[in-house]
Amino acid sequence: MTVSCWQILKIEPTRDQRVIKKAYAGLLKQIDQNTNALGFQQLREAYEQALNIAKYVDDDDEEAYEDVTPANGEEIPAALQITDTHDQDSSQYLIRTEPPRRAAQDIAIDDIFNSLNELGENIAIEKLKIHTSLADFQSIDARTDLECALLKQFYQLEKFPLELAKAAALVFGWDAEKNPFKYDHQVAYFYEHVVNQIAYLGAVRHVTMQCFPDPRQRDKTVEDVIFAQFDEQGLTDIVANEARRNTANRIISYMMNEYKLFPALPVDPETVTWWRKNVYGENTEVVAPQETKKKSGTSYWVVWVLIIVLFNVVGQCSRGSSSNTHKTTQKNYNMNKDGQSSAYKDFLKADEKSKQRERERESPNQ
Amino acid sequence: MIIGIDLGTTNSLVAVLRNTEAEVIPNALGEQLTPSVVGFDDEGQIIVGRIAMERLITHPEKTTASFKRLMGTSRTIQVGSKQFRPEELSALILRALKADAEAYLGETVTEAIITVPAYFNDTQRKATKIAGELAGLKVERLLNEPTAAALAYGLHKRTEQRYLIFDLGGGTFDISIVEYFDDILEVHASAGDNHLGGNDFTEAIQHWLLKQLVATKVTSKDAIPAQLRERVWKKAEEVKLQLTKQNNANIELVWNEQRYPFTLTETEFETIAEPLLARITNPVRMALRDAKLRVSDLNEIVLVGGATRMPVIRKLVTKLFQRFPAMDIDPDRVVAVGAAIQAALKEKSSVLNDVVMTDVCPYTLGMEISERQGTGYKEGFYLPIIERNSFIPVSRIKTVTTLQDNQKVIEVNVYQGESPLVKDNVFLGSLTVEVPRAPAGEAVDVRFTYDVNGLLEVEVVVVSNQKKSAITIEKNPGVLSAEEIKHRLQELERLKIHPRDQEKNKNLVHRAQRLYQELLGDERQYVGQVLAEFMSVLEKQDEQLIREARTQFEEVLNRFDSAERF
Repeated sequence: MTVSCWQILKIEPTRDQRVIKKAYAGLLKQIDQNTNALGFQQLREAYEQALNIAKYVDDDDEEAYEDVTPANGEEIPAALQITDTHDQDSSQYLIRTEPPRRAAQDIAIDDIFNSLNELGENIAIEKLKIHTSLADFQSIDARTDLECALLKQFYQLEKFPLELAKAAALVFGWDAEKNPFKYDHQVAYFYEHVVNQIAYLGAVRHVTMQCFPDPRQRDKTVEDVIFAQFDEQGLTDIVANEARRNTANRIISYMMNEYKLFPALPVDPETVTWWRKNVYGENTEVVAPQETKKKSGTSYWVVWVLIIVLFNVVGQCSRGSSSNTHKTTQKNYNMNKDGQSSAYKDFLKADEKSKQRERERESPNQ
Repeated sequence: MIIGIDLGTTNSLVAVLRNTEAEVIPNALGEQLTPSVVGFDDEGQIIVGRIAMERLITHPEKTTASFKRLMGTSRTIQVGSKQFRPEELSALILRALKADAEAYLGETVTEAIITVPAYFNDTQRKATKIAGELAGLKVERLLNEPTAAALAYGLHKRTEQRYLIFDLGGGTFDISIVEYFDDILEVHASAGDNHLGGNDFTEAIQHWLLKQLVATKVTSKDAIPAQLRERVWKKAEEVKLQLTKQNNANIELVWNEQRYPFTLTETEFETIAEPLLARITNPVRMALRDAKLRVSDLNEIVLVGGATRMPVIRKLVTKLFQRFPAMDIDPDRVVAVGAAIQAALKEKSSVLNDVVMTDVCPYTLGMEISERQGTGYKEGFYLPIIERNSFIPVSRIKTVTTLQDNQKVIEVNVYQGESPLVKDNVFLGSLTVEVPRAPAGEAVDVRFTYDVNGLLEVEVVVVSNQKKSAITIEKNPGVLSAEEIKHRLQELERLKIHPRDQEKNKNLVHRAQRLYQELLGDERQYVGQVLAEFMSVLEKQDEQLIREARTQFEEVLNRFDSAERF
């Protein structure tokens, strides 16, 4: 069995941080940090472990606390004592140091997401900007609370509001390469999820724009255009199989929902039937697609393949080819993991362009 | 005797701990702050400090400042007809400080603790050590600036508490979170920005002023004379200084016999400084997160560095932390005092017998690896081995394997930084290890050990045969080799250093020359006249007469020189 932190610290298990600190301080003074690196490291780790147990382990966790006597006239933990002295001193500050109001970030979050549901994304973005510029959220603690609450909210949403998330990413400086919450696993997870969503959806839109800078003037079918784009990007290994077809369909459905582009393109009726049957689960005649407003319940694997392809298109990945679909997926998945950050950056760049195109497209003379 | 030196971007200080008090040692001019400026005077002698600073405006081509920012690069700086490396220029400052300390203490000084920004990388630290060596000082230990401030502050208070050191100096920005308890001073996390400091704020004002001058067609955008730049810089300093005292800064620039008045309000300054202020928040948040603390867990925010005098900074700090910062110790001197304390700790001075300090390694250290990409591998990925803000000394081990059958060697490329791709990190060195012929997957253990002096040792052990190889990361492009140091040392020996005893006189002459350029009309004539008088007194070489004349002369100059020393 390994030596427990209590044995290294030469004390009985305790939750009294003062006792732990004192034991650590005493032992630290006996270690020469210049010559005894391992001794220091061992002591340091034992100290951190002991402090963590003291802070976070539940009262009824018998194993960690075998020897802890029930608190009788319980001592105030050292951390609290510090806060107390501080409160006594706080009269010297002109601004009183109060803990941030618990509710402040919740009110802001409610307001932003209610606006999103009822008034639309643009209003929600405005609300986000207003709330983050309020004096309430200028202090580091309060701002971090708001940021965490926002991440959690984004994580829980069914339909991801890309524009709002992008606005939040700008305000808080979210960066795909740096997850600042590495010590808070839950928030770290939310963070990664949100940043990845921004990258994925941003990339989908980017590819759509790449494929159809001006779809109205094309005389090919939607699939032809997408497939041509695949080939242009060197994705020759996505041969005429399910994966290729599904990816194309995902892009078509995305375009239809987000950009209402589909009806303007001459569509191969067979494709549309297939698409309706497989993606929407319908078995009817071809209807003008814009009437089908409801979003497809796209199956998980379709999204996966799409993402894989997108990262090939957007990220500057190598163009090796292989005829085996499974292998391709594997390869692309790896790239995907590493291509995220560049995809994220690229999409930010490309986004401005696509918006411009969108505006042009919406101009009445076309 | 070991001295403590704060080698700053704008000013440098030397301090020593005697009895129980740390004292900052005055230089030959009787001032505690020695500007980090080096130049040649008209006789081709090296001048250092205030005396050189006065000539920044009149002789920009023969004088140089802010070279700390180039430490650790292989850039050279042209001063007069000579090329210098930043280490050499720093060495000249250190040498002057050493001379001042020896004169003050009456004994020879052989060793020093020099402070560096916490966020200085390995290369920059080595360059600083070499500068010490070139100045004839043994530098075993470098101390992080915010840690120095923490030492000075923590030992000053000696109560159990946590605090955040907010250090905005002339050229660098550092954040450290420190806890003091039971005579233990623990640095929990450091973060910062190596290229953000008071100088950037001056530069922002300088740009603003130049823009106005270009707009009013005083000068053309493409050809701004070096002298005008330096003069505007000086005026920008003045504006910055005025804004620490009042809401409006009013200055007057003289160029080509014309006067140009300018007014900058605090609100306008805030707008100009906005991009700089925006860079302050992130390091603060990063340090707090690494220390796993909230602002409300901190007892005190301690301001360090001359730039924290700026009201815009104080305002921002108050906004971020929702409280007013502590200002018990002079922000200019606190780092030097901390260095002196560290020097005493190193000497095991009885004054501090019980205090122990622990520090962290503020950046991540790791190695390059390849990652699987389908059937092939892609190189250039980063495998962190020592995570940033680990307590030091620290030793960590990671196992890596060969990629190919019968691979002959494994190359361990060592990097420092936070990016997942090595190309965005700083290359520190590399080590090639032979591995026995075997199928892919042959394992080697890579151990990184980072000690209290900031030295990184990399040890690689081949698991199958336990063969060891190790390097201490030393050689890299920005650092001089041993022979080069020897050569540079000889070169420096040959430079004529201006005799320190005449500095006061020389300094006044330079000041007068600068004023003469800056002023107009009667004022200018008057300065020229008193300067000529003073020069003639100097020629008589009568100490008594010179001293009297000097006092009068200085008074006259003070009347014209509204720009107080920052």
